[in-house]
Amino acid sequence: MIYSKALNEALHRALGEDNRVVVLGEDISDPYGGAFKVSRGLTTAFPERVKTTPVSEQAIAGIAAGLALGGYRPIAEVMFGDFLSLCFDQLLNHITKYNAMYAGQTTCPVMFRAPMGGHRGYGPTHSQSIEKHFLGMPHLRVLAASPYHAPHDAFADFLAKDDPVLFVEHKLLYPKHLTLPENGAVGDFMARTESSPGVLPSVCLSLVPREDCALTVVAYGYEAQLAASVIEKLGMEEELFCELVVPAQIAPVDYAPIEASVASTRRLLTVEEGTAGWSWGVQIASSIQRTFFGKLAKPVEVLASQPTVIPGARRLEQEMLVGAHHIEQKIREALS
Amino acid sequence: MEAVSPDPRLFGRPDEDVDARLYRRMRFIRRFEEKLLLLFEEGILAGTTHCSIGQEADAVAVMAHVRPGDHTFSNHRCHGHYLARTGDALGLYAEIMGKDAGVCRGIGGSQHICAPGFKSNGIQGGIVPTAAGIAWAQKLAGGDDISVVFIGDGTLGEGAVYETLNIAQLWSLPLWIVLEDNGWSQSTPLAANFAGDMRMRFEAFGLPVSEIDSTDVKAIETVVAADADHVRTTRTPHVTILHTYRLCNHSKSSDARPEDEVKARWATEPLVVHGPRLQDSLRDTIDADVEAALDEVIAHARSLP
Amino acid sequence: MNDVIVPTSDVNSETGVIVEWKIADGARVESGDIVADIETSKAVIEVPVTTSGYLLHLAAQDAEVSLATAIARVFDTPEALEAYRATLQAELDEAAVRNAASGVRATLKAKTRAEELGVDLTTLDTSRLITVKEVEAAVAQNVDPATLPAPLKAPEDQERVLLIGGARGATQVIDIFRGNTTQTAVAIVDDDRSKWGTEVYGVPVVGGSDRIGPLFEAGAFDAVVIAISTSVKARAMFRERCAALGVPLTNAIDATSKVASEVTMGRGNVLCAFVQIGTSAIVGDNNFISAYNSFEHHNVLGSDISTGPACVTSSRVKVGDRCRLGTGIYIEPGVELGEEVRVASGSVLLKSVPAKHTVKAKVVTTVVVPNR
Repeated sequence: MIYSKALNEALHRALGEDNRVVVLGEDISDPYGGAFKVSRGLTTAFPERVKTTPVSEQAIAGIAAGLALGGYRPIAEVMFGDFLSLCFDQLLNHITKYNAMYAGQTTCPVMFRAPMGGHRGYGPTHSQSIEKHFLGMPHLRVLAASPYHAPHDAFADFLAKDDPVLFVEHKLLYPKHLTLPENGAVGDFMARTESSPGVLPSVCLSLVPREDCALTVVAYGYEAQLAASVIEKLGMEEELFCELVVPAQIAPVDYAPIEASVASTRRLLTVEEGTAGWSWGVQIASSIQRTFFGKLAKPVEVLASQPTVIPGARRLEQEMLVGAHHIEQKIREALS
Repeated sequence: MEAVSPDPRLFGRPDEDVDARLYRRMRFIRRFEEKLLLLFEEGILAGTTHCSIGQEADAVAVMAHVRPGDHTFSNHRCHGHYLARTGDALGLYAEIMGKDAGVCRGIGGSQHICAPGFKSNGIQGGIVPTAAGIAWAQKLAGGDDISVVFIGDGTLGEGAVYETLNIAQLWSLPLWIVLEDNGWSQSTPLAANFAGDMRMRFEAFGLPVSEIDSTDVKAIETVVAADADHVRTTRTPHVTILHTYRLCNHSKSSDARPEDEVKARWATEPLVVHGPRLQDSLRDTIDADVEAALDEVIAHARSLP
Repeated sequence: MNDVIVPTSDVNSETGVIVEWKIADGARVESGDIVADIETSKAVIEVPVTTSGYLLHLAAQDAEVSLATAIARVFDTPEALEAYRATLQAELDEAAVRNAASGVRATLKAKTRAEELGVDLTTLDTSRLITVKEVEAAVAQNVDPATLPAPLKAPEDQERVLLIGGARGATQVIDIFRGNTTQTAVAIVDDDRSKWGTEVYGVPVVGGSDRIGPLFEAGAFDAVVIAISTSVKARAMFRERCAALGVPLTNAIDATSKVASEVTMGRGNVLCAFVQIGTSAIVGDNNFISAYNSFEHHNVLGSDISTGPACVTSSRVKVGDRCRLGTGIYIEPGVELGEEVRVASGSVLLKSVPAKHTVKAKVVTTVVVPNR
């Protein structure tokens, strides 16, 4: 099943199984069903609890906050993740504050679904992966869609806990097939899941057992899929073996699966599509280098996109955003 | 949090005459904040605080028509609203003093208060969509609870307000917006901040608006009683504009308003307007009740860890 | 037969997903009918047919398809459609048979190595990805050392040398040893199984490189010379393996070569006929220096270097690790070559070359014509 359809089914299921769930966002009414069709059928099936909104991101975020304070479980669709900037005040000064600021008297479990990412020529303000601006926000959990994680698990996780969640969905995953681990494998990869208690599991993929891998690559979302394709190619053609760790939760970081892998490989490369500097990979690098001080074969490498505007022209975008060729080059450097 | 049982010397007994109770509660808020400012001068409080001296009639009149199931969202200037809703003097003093017994254990401080059915946040504008979301939750749940949000004239500069007005009207949410226009946005007069017509800003979205320019708690109560009832029964939004005046500074620091203007307003402050409706002896008794009760609370709060 | 192509101006999407077939496989279509919905990352596209006829689906619902190629075909008659379908099915069946027959997942390197070692991949554990490691392990397991030839014996005063590599380089090293009185080649290892049991100038190929450790432990030889002349990568790899095993390298220096006074010479170097190493030169480890090379006084050579015949340097030249020199090269005084520099035959180097660079040369070529 393709990712957007699985996501759509998971939303139907969440609304059907838990009547606290409310869905709101721009242009989500049928027959349109949202800019990426993820919300198709929801307004028809649940007209009371699913509403299309005006073009008002601050209000969407604030109303979602109020619903959550009022005992509901709002899931807000942000049409393009780039527009989360317009929700920032609600996230920083309202939603993530209410539990701690009021000394635990209330909770504000809101989920934002945000289609992020480029590689499609949508240009500077419709292609970004701006999650790094939210990763350090206290009391916010950030989850990331991947082809190796069932979207339903993200909603179940949100509904089982009481904290606000940002769910980052790379646009390019929507038309791709979900490839969940089955019988310990994803295609030619050996697959296993690892996690710390209470955290959605990371999926670890490798062509050969971990002890035969010389590098750990940690990536999420579409970049995880890109990294997997590069790792498969380098492994099959040149026996350069890497283990790929794909977390479902990117903040706070669950270090255990990464550390378990790095303890064996002694090399780490982080990959993200967001712009370089002050980023997810930098946070991981800092922690891993501290944990493995003196034991790494090489310094941790952080791969991120160039810190500039995402160009509209595809040839320029290909140079600017992290692509398969950048990942391959970094892996080769790390293994040289 | 345990339910607070208000001190009848501050909040009045249920059988108390309405005029006496209105006076008592306004007096309670006034003296609470005046004593609070003294505590700042004494140097035992940190940070800042925004008092509502001169605006007590709004808080007391509105809260007279807020029911236990309703939700109130207030702003940075929230002491009066909180006290009028809960009567919890100790919880608020202790909170501002940073004590563990504070209503938010000292984490929230002066502007970030929470109690059942009450919340406040120091960010301008953002509380309005949140209150609308609470109204939607109330609507989904059925019943006749309403969501009340207090904003000031300065907050009309925030875009989130207008996004919410549109949606509240579009979706028929039981949201009651109480706008306290005290004429000054911190140090800036309305004339320097505000274009057009205040009432028409709401009417442009189709929201019904009532408006009163008064510090008379009884006159205000008449207006807000009808407005609360409107939201409660029709399950649609309503706006109440209360033109008032802030006699104290915006926050702790001075705010450079013309002295004459402030002085003139002391002649029509709510206690001066409403006080004469009570016999002098009753008023003196209430004043003494409030004074004694608050001094006890402050002494208690000081002694807490 | 007409192809049905997704009508899109979305140059940004290479693929889309068939959300729904609107018209069933095999059904009649009229020109202009919408036959399918395709979802790209940008939009849902309706796909019309431009001719009337009978529709053959080329992909299933939910399948990811290329936007550049046909997703369906329209045939004039049901018979034409079915005939084409039968052809497609036959191709699929054939491919299925081929896939089932192989059933082996192996890396490209493992396949190459298996060919070198003559290993049948289907005899290995096919439940996992096969790598070079598994192929080599299989060889080590499959071969009974008792069936392989034993190393030669040598008089006690001789240094007994094991050669790595049983190709032409080995003949040169064996020839060097025939010209001196202190060293004897007693065995050769080579990972090409086809050489096992054969001899090079009377020296037996006793197995693969996996035997280096066991033979050394058994006391069958004293030191190793890597007799691979051209691949610096292989030379470096085997030098590291020997180091890891604790097996020493030894030099093989031809009796006709001249090593001048005060030269510092490492281990594992092969100096072929008429090589000259000038005074005070420093030579690293594991270099293969071909005939008629002259490294002038005060040269510094790194390790794992390989040269062709007739490379001549002037004084104070430095050659970095793993450099590969062609034939007939002249190097001016003081020139320095960084690590892993490759130099084409016939070059004359006047300037230094940074690491990991290649020197290309315009060699004066000759033209050959028939005699008149």
